[in-house]
Amino acid sequence: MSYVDGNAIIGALSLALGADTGRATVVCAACGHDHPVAEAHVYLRCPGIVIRCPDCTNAEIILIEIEHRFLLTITGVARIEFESGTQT
Amino acid sequence: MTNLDTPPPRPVATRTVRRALSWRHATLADTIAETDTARTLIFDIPDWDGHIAGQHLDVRLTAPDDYQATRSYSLSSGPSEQPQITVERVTDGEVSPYLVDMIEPGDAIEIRGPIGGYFVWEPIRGNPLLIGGGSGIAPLRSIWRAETGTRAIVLYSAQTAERILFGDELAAGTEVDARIHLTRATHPDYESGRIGADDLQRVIESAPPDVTYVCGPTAFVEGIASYLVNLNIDPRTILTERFG
Repeated sequence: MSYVDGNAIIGALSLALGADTGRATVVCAACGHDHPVAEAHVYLRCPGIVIRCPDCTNAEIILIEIEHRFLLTITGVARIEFESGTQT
Repeated sequence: MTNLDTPPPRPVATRTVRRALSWRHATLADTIAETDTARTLIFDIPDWDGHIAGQHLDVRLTAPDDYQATRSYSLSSGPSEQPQITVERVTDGEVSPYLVDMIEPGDAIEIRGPIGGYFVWEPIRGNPLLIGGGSGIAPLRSIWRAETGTRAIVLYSAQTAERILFGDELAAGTEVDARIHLTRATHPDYESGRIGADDLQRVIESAPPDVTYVCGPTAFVEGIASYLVNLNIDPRTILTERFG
């Protein structure tokens, strides 16, 4: 299965977390690699969206958006960092 | 010289995020037939406040049985121009055939955006080098339309001359200095064969970029990015967007 990158899921992820995640970075829980979400390897055609570490391919985030609900699995992420948007 | 530690663009307030990133209806205002397989769609979007070069829209279609399909399309318009996306028809695609062949001015469509903060260009980032494969040229157009100052250098890999997007604009060369490579055909006006390490080296030596944007199919992006790293371009200055 071919992958795209995290640029494709920034919209859904931002809505799910309530903040602009365009410049978010994650630390992979499996290997510790610190990288922008935009550089993750993203598989769009699974049941749900699978976001994988570009270094070790661990599934960091699984995101399912159905109508007005999000199902978010983040057990593959040690840490996610993003701006709160409260700075003026 | 660009300061890599420069603070990021101004963060968007949470309420604005929710509004910009919620699904809302846009109306198709106009279309441009770019090639036999691609069309530009120009939208009227309520509360549109412009976008940052490189950002995209998410587009959602709902079938009569309520099945939904969402796709991301880069804005190919300049930051202060009316928002538009340029869509290439994908064989057996769920969304692109509708966008290229069916939707007509006056039709409504659900969008959210503008989205993106990584694969974006603002003047503080400095002179960009733009490298696109296939429909990956779309967000790069948004960047060269944004440029004030030097002409942006574009390296563009297309399969055939008939598949070149924005060909007239690239040929005119007023805002952009384009080097076009054809990978599946030859043509007297264009280079033959893929963009190689030597092509990149020539461009980098003649006009060293502050930041480089690489967009297109996944294999293309990763191949180009690895050439750039081998040519000693700082990986922190290489931004990538993979279309799959």
